[in-house]
Amino acid sequence: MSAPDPTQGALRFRPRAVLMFAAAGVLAVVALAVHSSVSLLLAVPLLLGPAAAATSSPRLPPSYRVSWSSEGSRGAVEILGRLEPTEGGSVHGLVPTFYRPEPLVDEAAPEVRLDGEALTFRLHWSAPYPCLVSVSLPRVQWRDPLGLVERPVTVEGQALRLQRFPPELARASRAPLRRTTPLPGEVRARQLGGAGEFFAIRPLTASDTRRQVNWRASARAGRMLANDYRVERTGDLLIVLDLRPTSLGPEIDARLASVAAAGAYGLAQSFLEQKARVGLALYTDFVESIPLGSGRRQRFRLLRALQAARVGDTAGPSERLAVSLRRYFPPGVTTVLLSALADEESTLVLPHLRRRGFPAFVLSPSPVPLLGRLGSRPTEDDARALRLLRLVRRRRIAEAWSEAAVVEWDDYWSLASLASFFARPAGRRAAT
Amino acid sequence: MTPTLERLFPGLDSRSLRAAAIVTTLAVLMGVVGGEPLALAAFAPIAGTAVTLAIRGRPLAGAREYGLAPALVAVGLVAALAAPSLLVGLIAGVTGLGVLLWNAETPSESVRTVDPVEGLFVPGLGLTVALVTVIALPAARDAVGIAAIAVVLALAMVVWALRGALVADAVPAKAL
Repeated sequence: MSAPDPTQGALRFRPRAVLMFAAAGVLAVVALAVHSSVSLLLAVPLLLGPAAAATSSPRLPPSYRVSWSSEGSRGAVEILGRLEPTEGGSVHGLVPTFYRPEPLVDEAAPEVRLDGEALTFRLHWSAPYPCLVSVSLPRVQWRDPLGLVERPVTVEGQALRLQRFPPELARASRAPLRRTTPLPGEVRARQLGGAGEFFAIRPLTASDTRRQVNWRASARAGRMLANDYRVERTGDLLIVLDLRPTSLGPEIDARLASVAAAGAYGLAQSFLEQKARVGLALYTDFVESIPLGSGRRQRFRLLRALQAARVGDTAGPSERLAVSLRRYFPPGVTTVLLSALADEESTLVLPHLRRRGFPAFVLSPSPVPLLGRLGSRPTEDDARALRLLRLVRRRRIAEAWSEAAVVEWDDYWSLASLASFFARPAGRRAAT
Repeated sequence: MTPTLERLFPGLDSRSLRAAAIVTTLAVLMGVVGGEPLALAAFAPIAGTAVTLAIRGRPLAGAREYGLAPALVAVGLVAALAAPSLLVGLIAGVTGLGVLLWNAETPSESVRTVDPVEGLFVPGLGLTVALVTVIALPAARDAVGIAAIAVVLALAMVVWALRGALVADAVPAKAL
């Protein structure tokens, strides 16, 4: 625990109060110089305003607590929160300042209302593309009604984590995954039915079929229960993010990394909910890995790693990624490579992964929508360049298909293409 | 207000404009009642207000804090040149209250949980005391002297009241 800040809670004049004091002083001098009471009477409120403000500071409680949550779908980010004293006290005169993290943008002015002994607030932001961000606690200050003096107050609470990714990722867990390490004592059935091997009994959900209902167990428990099958929930997934710098430039690279990290988290969350094991590898010049694991802790580990993921300064060779993966992950694990495939080097990863025993498919966020947004007013030449870029990208993806399946992600708020990719059998996919 | 104007000058919101209009009108009135030429009485406050609005409209922290300076200079000029009388003094005092109100309106700080008018009570009370002093003493020179003493006393009270805030608390030694 750190030592308390001695300046915490100290009352201080704002610069505008200093301006008022200075103006009052000058007016008083002018009044004495020209022997006129008019300037002096003008100076009286300017002098007394800051003085009265400074003496009107109330006794504040030791700290305030923030409880907040986020709402909204796709790019909409609505944050609802409440600020209240930890002990008895007033919120009268409190002014919260909110920190909006990049890449979120303001949609409307924040709404702050007095609600009894608490302050409720609503922030209207939006995310231009999928992202994982953390919103810091607001800075809260007490201010006098004229806004001339202020005093910081202590705020307790936790930073708000925001994840925005396409909703289709929630259905991604239907994809069959390979299990690379059998559980202790596990003996697999020789023949599995369409639903797979029995795993456990769980409450019935709306998506379950009538064949999945365990009627005997339901009769005993007095509520509807269904059989859970191993095929639905087993397997390992390795998510690889290619974070090497590309020729697109640092700004576009950073945005693509944000999109890829959000997509990776969406995938990981979806599979972790089904108790699959998920691992992560971030590749810049060397591999940073999180071993396969499951559960809430693993989800938190992945979230932290993905939030901290940044595009590296130097690009490592493609082969190093595949070689390094063998140190951390068993071969044969189902691998998703998130890469923009922005240049030739990034497509070279695929054959190396295949040779080292990682059957991969690529989820590729397209840089074209971001390139189109950069220009404020696109000219005819820009439109032509954009068409050429689309052609180049189509050709590169076609080349990458010779090594692995590629799902192009050009509409950042929809991953219908990934859902259809998972839904179609491998044989048909290979044929198309 | 059109969205383009709002985008160019985020400080031009209705609250700020209302306060600016009050101050400008009172300053012009003070000049006219104080016997100044109409050109000066009207031009100085309007010019000062226009410059202030342009400065405070910019999304800069310094502009928000010190942007009122041109308007203060203009109003101060009009007050210095006005012929003293009870009515002019009253208008000057109310103009000072209007300046405080305008100073409190920062459009970019849209979050506000208390009405600025509440903060005008003590300055208004002080102004009333000063005006009563002027009325009670017939000679203008005496009134100026008494008011100057009142200002000095008020300043001393301010320093006394804020000595705790102006001087930082002693930092306890780490060993303790």
